[in-house]
Amino acid sequence: MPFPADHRRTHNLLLLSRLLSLRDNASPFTLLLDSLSQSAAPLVTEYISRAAAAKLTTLYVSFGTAPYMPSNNNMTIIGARGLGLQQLSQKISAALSSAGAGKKALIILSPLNPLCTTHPAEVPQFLSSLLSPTTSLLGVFHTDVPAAAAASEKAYPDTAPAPLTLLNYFATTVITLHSFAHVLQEKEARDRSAAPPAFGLDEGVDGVLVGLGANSPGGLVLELEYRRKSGRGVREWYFLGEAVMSKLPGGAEEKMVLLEEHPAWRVEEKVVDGAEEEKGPESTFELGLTERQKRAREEVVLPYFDAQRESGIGGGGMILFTPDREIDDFDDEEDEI
Amino acid sequence: MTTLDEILQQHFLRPGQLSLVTSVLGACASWYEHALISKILSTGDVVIHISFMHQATFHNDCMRKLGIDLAQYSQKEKYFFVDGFTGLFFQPTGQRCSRGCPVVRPSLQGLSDDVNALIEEVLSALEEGSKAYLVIESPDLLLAAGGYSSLVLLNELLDWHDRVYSTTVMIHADSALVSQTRSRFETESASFATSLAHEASILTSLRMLDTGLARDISGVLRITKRPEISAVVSEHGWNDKEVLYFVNDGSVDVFSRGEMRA
Repeated sequence: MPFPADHRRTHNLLLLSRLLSLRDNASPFTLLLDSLSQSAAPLVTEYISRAAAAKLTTLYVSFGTAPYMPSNNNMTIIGARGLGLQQLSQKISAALSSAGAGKKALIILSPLNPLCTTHPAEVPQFLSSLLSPTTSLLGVFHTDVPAAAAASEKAYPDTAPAPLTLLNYFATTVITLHSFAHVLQEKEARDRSAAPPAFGLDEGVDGVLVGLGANSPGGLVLELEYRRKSGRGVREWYFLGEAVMSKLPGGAEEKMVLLEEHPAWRVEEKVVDGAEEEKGPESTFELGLTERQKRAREEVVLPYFDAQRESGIGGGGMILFTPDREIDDFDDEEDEI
Repeated sequence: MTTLDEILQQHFLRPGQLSLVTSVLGACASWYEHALISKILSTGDVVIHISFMHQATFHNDCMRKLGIDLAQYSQKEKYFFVDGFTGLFFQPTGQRCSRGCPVVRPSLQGLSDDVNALIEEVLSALEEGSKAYLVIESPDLLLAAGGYSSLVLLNELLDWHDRVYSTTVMIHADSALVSQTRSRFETESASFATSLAHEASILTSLRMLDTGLARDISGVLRITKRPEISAVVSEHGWNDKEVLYFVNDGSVDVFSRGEMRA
């Protein structure tokens, strides 16, 4: 029988693999929360390449700069800057029907922030209108872009929840992205019970937008929250790298691993273990004592031990004063001045 | 060791690249702008320079110190200057802005028309094999002075960017402008800066030395790359860098921390 930890590991890795490959329509609406410290781009690229491998139709609805993809014919890019919701949904449905009705499709909306600014009240309806049994939605939201105020109070009242809150309720999977370098540094600080370091805008340094170690090459950390139909959620932290890191039952090889199993994460833990074994300061001198030296040291009777004995030389509080044999620095004329 | 040339090279990685340069009050980015423009001009490509902070004379004087006569390039139709500030609050005169003259229409729509017309004109006259670069200085002025929303302005910039080979945008990123969200302007300004930083593939931040002022160091330059959605696997070997720089009259030294300098 497998250990519970082992079971959890296999289950959660399979879950992420299923989510990334969009198998069985596992998650109709996936929300990616990224920041300046870790961009969602590597994960979106992963989604696109898996969708291409599975021969899905991919629509990239771009609200910012269009992705640079000179050689991808499977993907349709829709420029959505400044479009109204009506026009946008027309364009999307036109692109979907031209790809073939009933074909499985992945729709990527990146980023959702402009949409949440211009149509805060209509975003959930718009997104659910795009959903169908054959489409999966992938929305990217930048968490560190402050939401600009709505054009008028009537359009979206101040008391209504922030668009991100609505999206959070609506999403079936929420993936928050973290920079691996930052996660390691935060863990190290936590292990020492120190305050975790801040990065980028939180550093509070004038003129710093992105901290060093952001978007570290080689991989990123995903914090996954998957909501099952039953309402129970699965929470797990993963590391998504560039090389194959784990083998799944069924022979599939995956580029991800549970964060706690990543070698660098474990090395950190080992270092902490080692710190508990008391180690002296390093030096070229021998700072320890041999057995003989120790014994000799214990035998030394310090002079004040005598004084503490009741019947010792002091005899209970008597002041002992032994004048120097010769006092020759008296100056007779001192008082006369 | 990193040279200024290596840093500027990061602006020329691929077509359609958007770069962002941020500066703070104590660490002005003019020198970087001029070094970048002179590098583009030296390759024979065309620069469209939109400045919302300085007039043509300022840029001409600074570039002359680098040994570049902008008037000559302007005559050869390699350099186009748009003065976005001087005529910003003038009454509209109805006349179109021709090449090099200040924009004289106070609305973003007017500005947009003028810039789009200029880009059109430049692109149609572009020689085979040469590229058009867009350098936009301090568009964030329009948020404060024009009262435009960050989204409208950002969409406008990205529309211009889509038409040229590559774009560099320079904005101010003092913490009062990027991390406060109490008033409407603060929110718009922070939203503009962070959205642009999310869109840009290269971010160069200039700031003052953390430890205070120094006689032989002007500031700190941090250059970070953002991963992009792309079929091509990005090349490794580039790590985010932080170097110090010293702006002397007409020349700039770039060096690492603790490096001995002549």
